[in-house]
Amino acid sequence: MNEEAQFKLQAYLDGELPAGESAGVQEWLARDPEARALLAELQNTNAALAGHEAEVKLPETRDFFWSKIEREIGRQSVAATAPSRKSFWARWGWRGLVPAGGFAAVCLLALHLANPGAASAEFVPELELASDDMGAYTYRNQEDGLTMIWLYDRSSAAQSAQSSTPAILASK
Amino acid sequence: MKSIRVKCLFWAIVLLISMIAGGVARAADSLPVQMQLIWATNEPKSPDPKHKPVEADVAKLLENTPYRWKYYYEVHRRVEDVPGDRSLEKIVMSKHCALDIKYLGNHSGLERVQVKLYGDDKLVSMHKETLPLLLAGNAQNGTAWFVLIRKAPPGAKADEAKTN
Repeated sequence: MNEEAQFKLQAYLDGELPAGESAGVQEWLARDPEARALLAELQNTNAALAGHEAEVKLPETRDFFWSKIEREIGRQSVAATAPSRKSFWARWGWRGLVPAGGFAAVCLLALHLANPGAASAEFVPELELASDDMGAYTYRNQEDGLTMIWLYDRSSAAQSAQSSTPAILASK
Repeated sequence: MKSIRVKCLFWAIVLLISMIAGGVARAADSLPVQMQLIWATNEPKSPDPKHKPVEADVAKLLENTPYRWKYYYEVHRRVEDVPGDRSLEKIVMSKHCALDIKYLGNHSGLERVQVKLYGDDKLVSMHKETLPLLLAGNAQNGTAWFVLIRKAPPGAKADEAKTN
């Protein structure tokens, strides 16, 4: 006897079958001794449990109890079908961190390429004179941020302060 | 797999745009610079009527140097957008004076330039300095010349005066 037949017999015993199916079971019992034996065993088991089953009293009415179950089932099914609303960090936090870091690195690289002098070492002014005969004084006015470089001819400077080397304003 | 490909493509595009933006920013890295050739004298009047006294802020700047004259006249003024990727060559300030100038970028808030000074078409000196920069030297009859190079003030324009 298969499991489905056993369940059907249990349902017959509990009075859960519709009238048509119940009649069919009765016919089956009439011709099948194995079914009758199982039914007898089930009846004995029921009888044995009948006096010892603990009685459970619900703290609320039966209708209210079942309505609570119904509401809970409804709530869970809604929660299962509704799209999950995760926080921004739960959705993008770690997943976005690596590409965001990469993007930041690329931006820094681009900034460095755009302004290579910004991150370089201390700027050192340079001065090169085209001739050894030339000399230069450098004066820095911190207040105005001005750098002044006075160019002069060494030989002429020794002779006269009014010489004109280099010839920048020769017509004067 | 498709999702990974789309992500890789997206970040490749981001990288490309960033590099292009960086390149454009670098290419566009230039500085508007004003250059003034100035004649300093103790004579109250310039022999050249086209010369005009320098502006008050320039006069104040020059008076704060160790070399002082009573009067400063602007001989010529140029305003140029100086690129950072090459020298702006032979900026003629007078018949006897020319400059090559290159922008070296901003360093700690100070603009740096490389300047080559030419006198009568001969290289006189090369400088790498921060702006403002004042190059100077003796001229005839107890006068002096100055080349003031500074970041161009907003709206600065070159003058139309004929160069000496």
